[in-house]
Amino acid sequence: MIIQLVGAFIGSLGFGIVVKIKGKQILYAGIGGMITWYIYLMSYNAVESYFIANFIASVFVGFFAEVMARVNKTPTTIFLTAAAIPLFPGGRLYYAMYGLVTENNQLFVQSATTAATIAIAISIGFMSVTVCMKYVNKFIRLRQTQMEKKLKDTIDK
Amino acid sequence: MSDSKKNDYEKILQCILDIGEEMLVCGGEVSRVQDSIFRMCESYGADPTRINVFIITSNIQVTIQAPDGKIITQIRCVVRNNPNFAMMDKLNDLSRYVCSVNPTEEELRAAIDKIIHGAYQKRWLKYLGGAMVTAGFTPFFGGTLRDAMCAGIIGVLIIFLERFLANKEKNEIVFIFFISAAAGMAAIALVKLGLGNNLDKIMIGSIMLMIPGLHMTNSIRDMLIGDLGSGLLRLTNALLVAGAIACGMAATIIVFGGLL
Repeated sequence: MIIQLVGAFIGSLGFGIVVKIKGKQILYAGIGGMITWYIYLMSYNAVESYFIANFIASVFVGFFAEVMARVNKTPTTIFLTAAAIPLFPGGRLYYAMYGLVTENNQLFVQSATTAATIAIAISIGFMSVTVCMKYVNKFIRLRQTQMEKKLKDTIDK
Repeated sequence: MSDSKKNDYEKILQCILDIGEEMLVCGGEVSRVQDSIFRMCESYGADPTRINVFIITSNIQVTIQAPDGKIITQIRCVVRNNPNFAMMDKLNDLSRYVCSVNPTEEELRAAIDKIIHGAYQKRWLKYLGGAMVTAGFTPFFGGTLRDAMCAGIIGVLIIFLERFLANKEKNEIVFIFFISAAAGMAAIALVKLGLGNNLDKIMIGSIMLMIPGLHMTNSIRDMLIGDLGSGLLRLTNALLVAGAIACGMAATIIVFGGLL
C-alpha cells in the first residue's frame, strides 16, 4: 500500500509538472493525489465496489480542488485534474486492449466494463460536488449581502 | 469609462478574444472562458443585453453592441491544445484586471503579449514530469523498481515525441496513435533487453501519461454547467484518444509481441 501511495504521489506530482502548474501548487496536487488514493483504498476495503469507492474518492477530489482553489485563488480545474489522476482507469484500458488483441474475451469485457464504471463514477462524483458548491456559494453570497444590509442598517441608525 | 479617451472597440474586442482563445488553449473550461469574455465586454460599456458569446471547444463567436453604437461581431477558430495552467491562472487574473481597470487597446495588447511570451517552465522540467508520471504509476500498478526505471525512460521519450511531432502531425488521433505505438515498441525493446521485468506494468505506466484526463474532467464540467455541445465534443475527443492509445499499444503487441 505504501508503494502505491508513493507512486500516486510521484505520479500526480509529475502530472502537475506536465500541465505546468506553478510553484508550490504542484506539491499540493501531489499530496491531493496521494490522499485521493488513500481514500479510494479505504473505501474499497470497506464496500468492495469499484463504483462506490471511486465515487467517494472523486467526491473528495472535488472538495479538495474547491478548497485548494479558494486557498490559492486559482481556477478549480487545476487541482481537479492533477489530484484525480490516480483514479483514471489506465490499467483497465490496457487489459481491455490486451484481452482484445489476445482474443481473451472475458478479460476484454471485464476490463472494459470496469473502466467504463470507474469513468462514470468519477464523473458523478465531480458532478455532485460542483452542484453542491453552486448552492454553497449562493448561500454564502446571500449571507454576505444580508450581513452587509444589517451592517448598513445599524450604521444608518 | 471616461469619454475623453477614444477606444477602438474592434481592436479591444480582438484583444478580449485573444485572452479567451489562450484560456481555451491552456485547458480552461468553456464556461469559464464564456464568463470572462462576457464580463470583459460588459466592463467596457457594451450593452449587457446585446452581448452574445458562443463558445465550443474549437470556436469562439462574440457579438457586442459597442458603447458608440456600432455592432461588432468577431469569430475565432481555436485549433491548438497545449495545457498550461500557470498561464491560465495569469490570464484569469488579467481578465479580472481588465474588468476593474479598462485598459486601453495598447496596454491590453502589451499585457497579453507579456503573458503569452512569458517563460513558464524550463524545458527539462517537463521531461522530468513525464518521467515522474510513468515511473510513479508503474510501481503503483504492481511493477518492480526496474520497471519504474524503464517507464521513466519511456516517459522522457513520450514527451520528446510530443514536442517533435507537435508541428508535424495536426490530427490528434493519429498523433496519439504514433506516440502510443512508439512507447509500446520502446517498452517491448526494454523488456527484451532485460532491463524491465513486466511488460504490462511498464505499458500501463506510459498509458497514464497519455490518458486524456484533462479532457475528461473538463467535458464533464462543461456538460454539467449546461454546455452540452462543448462537453460532447470534448468527451468524444477523450474517448477517441483513449481508443487511439489502446490501438497504438495493440499494434505493437500484434507486430512485436511474438518476439517475447
